[in-house]
Amino acid sequence: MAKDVLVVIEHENGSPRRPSLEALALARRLAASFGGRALAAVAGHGVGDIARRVASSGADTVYHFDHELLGQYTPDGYRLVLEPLVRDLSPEWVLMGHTYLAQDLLPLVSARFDAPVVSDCVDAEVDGETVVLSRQPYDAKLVARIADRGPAPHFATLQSGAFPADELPDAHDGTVEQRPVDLSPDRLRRKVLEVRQAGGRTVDLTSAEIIVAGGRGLGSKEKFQQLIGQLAEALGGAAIGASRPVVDNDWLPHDHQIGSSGQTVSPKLYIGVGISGAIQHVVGIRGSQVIVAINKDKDAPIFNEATYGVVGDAEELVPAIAQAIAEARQS
Amino acid sequence: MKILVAIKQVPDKNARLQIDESGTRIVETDLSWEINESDRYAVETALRLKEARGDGEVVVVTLGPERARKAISSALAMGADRGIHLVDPDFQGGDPLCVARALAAVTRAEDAPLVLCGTRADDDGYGETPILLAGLLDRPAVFLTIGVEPLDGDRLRVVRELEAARQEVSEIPLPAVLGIQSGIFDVRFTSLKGIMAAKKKPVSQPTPTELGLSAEQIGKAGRRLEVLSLAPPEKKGQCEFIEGKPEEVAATLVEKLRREAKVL
Ligand SMILES: Cc1cc2nc3c(=O)[nH]c(=O)nc-3n(C[C@H](O)[C@H](O)[C@H](O)COP(=O)(O)OP(=O)(O)OC[C@H]3O[C@@H](n4cnc5c(N)ncnc54)[C@H](O)[C@@H]3O)c2cc1C
Ligand SMILES: Nc1ncnc2c1ncn2[C@@H]1O[C@H](COP(=O)(O)O)[C@@H](O)[C@H]1O
Repeated sequence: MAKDVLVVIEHENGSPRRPSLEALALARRLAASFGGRALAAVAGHGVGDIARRVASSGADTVYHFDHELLGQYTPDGYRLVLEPLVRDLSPEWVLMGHTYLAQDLLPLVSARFDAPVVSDCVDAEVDGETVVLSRQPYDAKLVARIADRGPAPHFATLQSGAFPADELPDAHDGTVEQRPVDLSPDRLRRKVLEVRQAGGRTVDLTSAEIIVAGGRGLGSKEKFQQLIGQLAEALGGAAIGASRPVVDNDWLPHDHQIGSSGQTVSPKLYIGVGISGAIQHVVGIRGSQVIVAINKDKDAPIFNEATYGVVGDAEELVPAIAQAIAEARQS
Repeated sequence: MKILVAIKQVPDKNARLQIDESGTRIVETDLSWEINESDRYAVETALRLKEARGDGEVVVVTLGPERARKAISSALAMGADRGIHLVDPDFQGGDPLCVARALAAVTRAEDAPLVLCGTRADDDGYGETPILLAGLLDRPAVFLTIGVEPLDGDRLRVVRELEAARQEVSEIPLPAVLGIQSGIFDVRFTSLKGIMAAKKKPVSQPTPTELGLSAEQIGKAGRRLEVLSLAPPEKKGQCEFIEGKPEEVAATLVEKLRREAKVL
């Protein structure tokens, strides 16, 4: 039997989200290798256009679920349409981008099939029907190659940006199949009251030209203020950013956080000090023109993103760098 | 209300990791260990919920070898009432689904209406155990919880973190499972008194059989996911490393930022 690959599509403002298209690109690759089809599921309310877009972007069949109660994502609503679809289609793999929605949803579905999720994958080796996925445990300090030895369906989520969506066709003649939806409010146990922006963002890093960001490696609130403050001042009042543990530990207010759950920045110059370079931070800084990383560990993943790297202790390096910058700016 | 908190012991963040000769695991000797970061927040959340209600019990559960007993002790010293250590060799070496099955069995045995997990174990980094657990128990769940407040009638008001500093506010009924995100509350310091008190708190070690589990559902025998290799990542990118004494590094860096990158 031909082996198909199913992608669960997320959408936002009338378009499929980029991580879903990246998953579709991998689905096409896997399906081609298996001799099967790339399938997609689109759930929502009034999302027929999105379903058609996905069909023309490379999905052979798009299963379209339309219901008022799917207008807002809820894990129960999505699971109640996806679980029967997966049972019905028996795909070899079910894929999603490793987004917040996928993390909230996909294990709920996979558990119904006695399967874990191979989560946050960055690479796939495909050889006929064998798929080996790579992930990055220990906050990307290591790479693990994983095989799922269980029976189909297998489930995986893909790290944003790891699988290029560029190779999707411009015009594909996939079909859209509308599926009936049977939902009632009492089956949705999570009642969403509100989706809001985190309160009072007073710090806007998105338009900053120069950002100095500090991480847990600075060791304490005092050191953070001293070293990052010094460097920002030498740069003529650069904006100050931080990794998540810094704001979690109250060294700095939350609105300075850069990364997947914080701000996405695109300065001319980003200097990261004592930041390891976890993907959740890195996605927020990839738009920077020049990245300077200062870290005492030469293997820290941040150096994979950096233009210039300095290996050493922030306490020794930052004062010297701040002084050199201050002098240069005066001359 | 009884609250079950799942905590995992992981290598300390600054550990130098080495791969063993199988090429699939890290060398565990000479590492120092700690409670996984988001799990500490889960313990804190449980203690606060108990304190707010003025009654209840906080039970911490960990699946791990002998060394993981220390993680339980630390949580008991923070104020948890009791520990469960899934230390039997049959529990070890599984994938997240195996862990979720074991946690599901404990949840049933304890009849705990609320289970708190962290969001992600910073070692393997799967970030899926709480939602798998919810799937197995058929309970509502919220992943990446950054706020929780009990309401009347066995419901919780929960804030879920979304991308780009957005949040979802919702209500869910108990029984439920929450994945607690780092930063939800400030984690308390452990007092000497807490450490002394912890020594007297009970820690049980149920076997798989006692929990109604067979070896094929858990641990190495039950896992689907097999690690074929574990290795340091290949270096990628074109980072230019600047070396020398701090003053030399500073001078070179400034020069490059001015003349090459033209950002100063
Ligand atoms: C769902 C989710 C969302 C997340 N969202 C975000 C987000 O939006 N933003 C974010 O930043 N993180 C986020 N995280 C957390 C992320 O995964 C990392 O845990 C976090 O970014 C690590 O922060 P860090 O680099 O400051 O700390 P660590 O990982 O602890 O790294 C500290 C670094 O400092 C170095 N160091 C130590 N001492 C010194 C010294 N004296 N001098 C120089 N260097 C030193 C160390 O070598 C190390 O590389 C999220 C996690 C999850 C699960
Ligand atoms: N071995 C374990 N023992 C107890 N709890 C665990 C264990 N593994 C994972 N968990 C819980 O599940 C959460 C997510 O883990 P993971 O899915 O492995 O990233 C952790 O933060 C813990 O709360």
